[in-house]
This record gives sequence, C-alpha cells and structure tokens, in this order.
Amino acid sequence: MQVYEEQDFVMIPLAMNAFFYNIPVGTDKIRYSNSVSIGEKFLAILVQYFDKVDEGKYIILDLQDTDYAFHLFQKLKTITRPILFLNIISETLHDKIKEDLPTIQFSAEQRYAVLNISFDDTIKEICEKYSSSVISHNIYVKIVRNLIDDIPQNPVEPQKLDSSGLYSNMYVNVKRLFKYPENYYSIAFGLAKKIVDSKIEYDGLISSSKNGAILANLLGMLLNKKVIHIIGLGPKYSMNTGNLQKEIKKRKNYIYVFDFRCTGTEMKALLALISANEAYVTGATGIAVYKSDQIDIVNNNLMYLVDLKTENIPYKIAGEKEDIITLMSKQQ
Amino acid sequence: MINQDYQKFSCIKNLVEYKDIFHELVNFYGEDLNDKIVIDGSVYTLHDFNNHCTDIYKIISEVLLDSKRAYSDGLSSKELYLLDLAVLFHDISMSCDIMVERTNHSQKSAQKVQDIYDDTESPLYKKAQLNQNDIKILKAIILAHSDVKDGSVPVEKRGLNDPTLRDDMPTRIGSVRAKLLAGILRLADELDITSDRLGNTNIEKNLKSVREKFLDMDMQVRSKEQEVNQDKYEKYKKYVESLSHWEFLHLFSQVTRESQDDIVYLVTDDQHIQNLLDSGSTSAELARKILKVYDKVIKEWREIKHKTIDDSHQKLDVKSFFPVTDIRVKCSVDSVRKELDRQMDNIKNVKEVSMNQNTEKDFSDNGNATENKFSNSGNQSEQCVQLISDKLSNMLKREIKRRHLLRVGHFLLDDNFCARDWIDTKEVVETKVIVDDIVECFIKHIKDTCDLQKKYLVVGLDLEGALLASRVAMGMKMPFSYIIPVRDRLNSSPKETELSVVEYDGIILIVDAIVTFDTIKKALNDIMKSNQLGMEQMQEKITHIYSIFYRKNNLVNLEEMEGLHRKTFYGNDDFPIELFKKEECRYIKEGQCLALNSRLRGNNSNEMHSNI
Repeated sequence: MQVYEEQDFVMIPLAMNAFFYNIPVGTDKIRYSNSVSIGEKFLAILVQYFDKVDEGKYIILDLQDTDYAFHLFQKLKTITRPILFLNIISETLHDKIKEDLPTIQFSAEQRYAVLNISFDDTIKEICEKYSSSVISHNIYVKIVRNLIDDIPQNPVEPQKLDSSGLYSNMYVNVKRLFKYPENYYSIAFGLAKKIVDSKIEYDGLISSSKNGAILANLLGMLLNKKVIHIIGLGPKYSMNTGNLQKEIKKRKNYIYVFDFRCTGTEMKALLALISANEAYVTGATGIAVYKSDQIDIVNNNLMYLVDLKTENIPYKIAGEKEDIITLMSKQQ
Repeated sequence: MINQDYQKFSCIKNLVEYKDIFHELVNFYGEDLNDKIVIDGSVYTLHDFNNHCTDIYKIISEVLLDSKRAYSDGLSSKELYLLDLAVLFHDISMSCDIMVERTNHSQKSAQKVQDIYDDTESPLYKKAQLNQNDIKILKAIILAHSDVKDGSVPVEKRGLNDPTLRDDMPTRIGSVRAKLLAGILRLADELDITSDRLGNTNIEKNLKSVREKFLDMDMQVRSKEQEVNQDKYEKYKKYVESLSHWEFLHLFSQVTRESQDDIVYLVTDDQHIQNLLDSGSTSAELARKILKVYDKVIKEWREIKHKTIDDSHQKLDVKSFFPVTDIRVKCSVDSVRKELDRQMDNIKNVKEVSMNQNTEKDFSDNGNATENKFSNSGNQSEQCVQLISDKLSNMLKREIKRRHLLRVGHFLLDDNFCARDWIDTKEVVETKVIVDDIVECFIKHIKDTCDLQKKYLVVGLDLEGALLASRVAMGMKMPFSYIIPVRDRLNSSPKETELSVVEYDGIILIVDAIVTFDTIKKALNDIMKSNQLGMEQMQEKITHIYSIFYRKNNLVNLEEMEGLHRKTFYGNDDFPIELFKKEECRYIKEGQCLALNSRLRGNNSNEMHSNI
C-alpha cells in the first residue's frame, strides 16, 4: 500500500492505490481513467491495512479522483479509529458517503469529512494542509528519494552525465524503480494523470533514453497512444535517423517523456530533430527534474512529479570533475 | 433434407430391431441439426447431420470397428442403438447458435436430450423405445464425448473420468458399456477432420467474407476510429475462430485403417498441401499445422485406449472388435513429410529427456552420487524451442509482410556473422496492434506455466526486450529490469548496466529475436559474474526465455546451447536467416563493413545493433 506517514497520521491516496489493486494479475492491457473506482476487493485490503496501523494514529483518506458503488463504505462503520476523508469533490461521492456513514461530519464547504472524531480547528488545519495532490506528491518524493544513490566518498567518483558531459554528486537510479511494482505503477499513474489533466493536445509520446523509453511505453499503454523511441541522441549520433523521418509524422504533436531531466540537453537535441521533421513537441513529462525554473521551450508544459531543488535534495552539477569534488567536500 | 448416405454404413445397417425407429428419429432430429445459422444472408454450419454425423457413422463403421466382429460378438444391439443415437444428438446444442460456448456444449447437448425426452409429445419419448435409464446412459455418453472446460466440472471428473460413466450401466435387457461407447464417439468425433466435413465451398466462401469484415471491424476497435456494433463484432469473431478450424480440415483428405496392422492413418490432401507450398507457406508451417491436429487425435486415442480398452476387464473382447493399434499421419509431399518426421522426432526426444530427468531425481533421492544424465541424454536440439501460439505466429507473419518489416540488405549480426536480411523489431514493438497481441500471448503463457507463488524478475534484453518486459511485468505485477548487451556497454553508465538477481526465485528473459543465442549467453555470463552465481545456479534461475522471433539459420549449431533452448518460447519462426561468416563477407570497403546497421563513426569499430 502506498502511504505517507507523519507522526500522528497515515495518509493514503485512494486513487493511486485502487489503480494498483484493481488490476488483476495477468491483465495484458491497462488503461488510465480520470476516475478510479474503489471496489470491494480494494476496500477489504484497505480495512486490513488499517489493522496494521498504530492505534494512536489517524487515518487520512484522499478521495480525489475516486468513486465507488453505493453502500460499499458501509463496511467502514465497524472502524472505531478516527478517519479523515479529504477531497470529496463530486456531489455524487458526497451523497454516497453521507448515506453509507450516517455519523460522518462534513466540513462547511463539504469537501472534507471526519468519522469517529470531531471537526475541530486542528482537524480543519490538517484538511486544508493536505488538499488535492499533496499526499500523492509526498509519495512520489518518497519514491524518488529511494532512487537516489549517493556517490562513493572515498575515493570520490562523481557521476558523469553522458548526455551533457557534466558531472553530478548523485545518481538518480531510475532503473531501480522498476523492481518495485507498486512504485512504478504509482509513477505511471501520476504521469498519466499529469498528462490528462494538462489537456495538452498530442498524437504520441516520444523518448530518447532507455528509462524514458520504458516510461513512455507504459504511458503509451495507459493512454492508448503511439510511442516512438529515439535512442542515442546527444553527443552520440543516432543510427536511426533514417527511420526517424519515417516515424515522426509531419505536423503531429508529441509529448517528450524523460526519466530524470538534469540540464535538458537530450530534450533540446530531440526538439531540434522533431522540429526539423516539421512536427511539434507540445509538452514534456517525467519523474523528476533537477530544477524546474530552467527556461526552455516547453517550460509552460513541463509536467513532472518531483523537483529535486524544491524538495531540498542536495543534487549538484558542475562542468569539471574537480569542481564537483570541491562542491561535495564543502557539503561534508 | 436428410442425405440418406448414412444408411450405407455398417453401424446403421446392423441396427436390426431399432433400424426403423432410428430412421424416424434421424428424419425428425437430423433436420434440426441441418438448420442453418445465417450470416449476412448466407448460411453456415459445422455440426450438421448430413456432413458431421454422417462422417462419424462412416468412421465408426470403416475405421474404428471391425465390420465382422463388431455386430455379431462385439456390441449388443442396445449398445449399437445408443451409440448411433449419441452420434445423432451429441452436438445438438451447437447446431442452432454460433454463440454457444464450445467449452460446455456436451453438457448443453445432454441437457437438451433430457428436455426433448421430457416433452411427452416428442418422437424421442413416444417412438424411441427408451426408458429413463436408457436416457441416463445416452446423456452420460453425450456428456463424456467432450470435456466440459467452463470450470463447472473439476478436471478429474471430465470426459471419460466422469464417475457416473461406467461400463456396466443397467438397462432393461442387460448392461451397457457406456464408457466404451463414449470412447468410440470421442475418437470418431476427433477423427472427423477431413475435407468431407466441409460440405460445399459456399459455406467457406461466406466465412472468408465474414473474416474480411471482421478484420475491418477489429481495426476500428483497436484504433477506436469509430464505434462498432459489439454483438456483431463478437459473433464475427466466433465465425472467424471457426474458420481457422475449417482451414485445418483442408489438410486431410481421408482417415483409413489398414487391415494388416490396424493402424489408422490420417491421410493428407497432397494436392492442397502442394498448392499451399506454391503460394508461400513453408513446409515447417504446414507440418506444424498437421501435427497440431495429429497431436490432438493421438492424445485422445491414448486416453481412450487407456480408459476404455486397457482398463476394461474385457480387454481382449473389446480389442477384437475395436482393433485400432495406433494412429499415424500419411503424407506424400516430400518436403512436408521430412519436416513432419523431424518434428515428430523432436517430440519424442523431448519426452525421452523428460523421462531422464525423472531418473536423475530418483538417483539423487537415493543419496548416491549423480551422473548428469540430463546433459548426456543427447538430442537436445534447437527444435526443443517451442512455439507459443499458432494464432500469434500467423499474425506476426501477416504483419511483417504487410508492413514490409523484413529489410533485405547486408547487416551485421555480431562479431562473427553477417546476415542478408533484418526484421525491424523496433517497429514491431512500437506498433500497437502487434505488440498488444504479443504481450497478451506472453502473459497468458506465463500465467499458465509459471508458479506464481514464486518471486520472478522479468528482464528485457536490449531496448526491444526491455519494452516488452515492461508491458509483461506491469500486466503480471512483477518487478522488471533490463540488460544492456555487452556490445553497447560503452554507451551506458555503469549504474545502468547493473543487475542484481540473487533475491529472485526465477528470471523470465524477454528478447526480440533469437538467431544464435550469442547475445543471451554473453548477457547471462555477465549476470553470473556480477552476482557471483555458478553456471548451474544461473541455469536454474532462468525459467523462461521469450522471443518474438526465432530465426533458424544455416551456420550455427544450437545443440550446444546449454539447455537454454529448452526454456525458450517464441512467437514466430517463419523467417529463417541466412548467415555469412564475417571473415568471408564480401561487403567490406577499406577495412570497414558496409552493413546498413553499422554506426556512422569516425573510427573503424563495427558496433552494431542486432537481432540476438
């Protein structure tokens, strides 16, 4: 179960988790949808999970982008611990919860509700703090933090970034993400949501790195879109330029998919290539960026889950190996 | 209109006191079976009386039963009557509706017989001279003629294993060997595989036109260009599935039994086979199709023999009138016959290897030092690689041709070989309609063959393998990773090349195409070193290797593949590859290979992307 924990709370984004648990093992086609249905099976798993949480902790359920069949939430009547329901956006959902849990208390604006506890100022504060997407975002940050490999300190071996020729003090090991099904499901779900919510018009997805290609591939399945992989850009000359002209259609729009964008060198090369083929890149999406305030051509449509700088992850880059070693020593 | 040919066969002629009643029942219920299913104004049927039931009577009379003994000392008159009735009614549920599930049609047919009998106005009730016990026996035979596969009947109670089906079921005038009769019906039904069953060609033409419509609909569904009538789509899909069965029927012209050795022969229609070869089918492909039918028949025969003859306390008596000793294929087209022999040998060899494995286990269980009988058993040839699905194979062949994905030219394969053509597997994995089917097949195969309690890692080799692995793993909710081939390591960061496998019980490896197994071997050697695993541990860890294409070649002997080929499953092998040794290759200019897939570098290195 994907959860975010703080001292007194366990926060569970239901849409992200239901997306994972709803899909039976052996499904060959998985599609993203704006609203994820909470079914009996997932609810049973959720209730089982509640039993593992410390007695003293409140459960916070983020209901954004979810729905369920009538009467399902009646099963929560048996839970005695405090539960906070956040982001009850739709009226239908609101009515269903009200009917299933008669003792539930709603906030003034009807967007939040509490069970087995009163709606006091502290609770109101918590509800407002964790408005839409905050809980999911915290989970993405947690996932990304687990992907970051610190560079060995003795001897110091900075990471060389092949695409730009720069050096960094950390390596974002996206390959590791794929070893944890719940994690890559969550990331794929999050990126698909970003793309759909952005309402960008696009005909396909395009990638230029191996991990980017895998992410694009999964997104292509979830969103039922064509995917093109152009591997070997940047300082290395691609052998596939002959095929490129065949694959990239004129006047078509593409979203560029990356795993981790540091300086954006690969993206720039790809944008130039796409442009040369009279097609367009209308947006870019990926797991993480080094910093989002870089100015580039897709700035307005840059969709990412985690900004390392904003999350105070001390990722650094430098042009020379010695510079990054100096930076790393200062950090210590 | 009932075709009266059925009356010529000995199993009908010898009905004696039941003959007239039987003809009445045929005239009444046979018409029901001959009722047509309408497709777009044309007609279609596959389980009718005039073709299918008549064929079965012929097979029973001329192939399965000894005409001298069967009706004098063999089957009693009641047994013969019930057998003939079972043939008449066994597919009655299939006759009227294409949407009836094949998985439980025997159950439905048995129920229909009961429903007909319960109608006191029906000829079956009024004229057939059957009582409730007889109907019970008839239903049991009909139920047992085809395994119920919809999950409602446990495996151990299906078909001839049904505990209610016995060889001493009582009737008013003695007992009936219902199990034996069910066995005869099952085998005769299975043997109705010749073009006799096709009826006239109009039916098939209509089915082919439906297939065209279905393919258009399917394209619309996949690309979501417009909404389709869902009911019609599902119905057309079933017709197209039936068409694939019909296409098999063309392969055989007759089924005979040689009296000198009582071997039944499935005789191929050599003219048709030659036509198929002339229009582009390969001998391997045709042999595979023939063997697919043969395999089903021989399995059925062995089970029937075991359950109804060998198990019977009247074994010798039964054998005297049910004398079949074996079933074989007879084909006079040289190339196909050779391919049949080769593939048959491989099937036998695989079975021998399996038996040796069991022996090895026993050996080690006794605590004695084990000799590696497995590797010494010999004949572990390339043909142990297995095709996953004919449907996938046909689709891949069709799409490769339709989209011109087989590129002709000069290509580098690896350090040792050049090739004369190339499949654009990148395009294959980027094309939704193709990759969706591949992933579906791979996932289904994994579900059917892997122990899902174990912890697997799905690993893709190179980009195309990685893309497929990601889809398969996501569908199976398994962890996945990828291997960068040794030749590409220079272009990747060390972190990207790392792969830890120790914590997993098994590895499912996915690649795009296999030619020499060389890249797989190198990748696995690398994993072994980095994970400090021995060869045996590594072999054990790799449980399955999936490849879209398996490209047989003229130079590399795959017998030394250290068991990898036995775990290999592929989508298509219709594109053999012609290899040339690099040192003998003529396409070199100023020391540099002129392969189309060479990287355009300033140096002379011949790095390559390649099929594996």
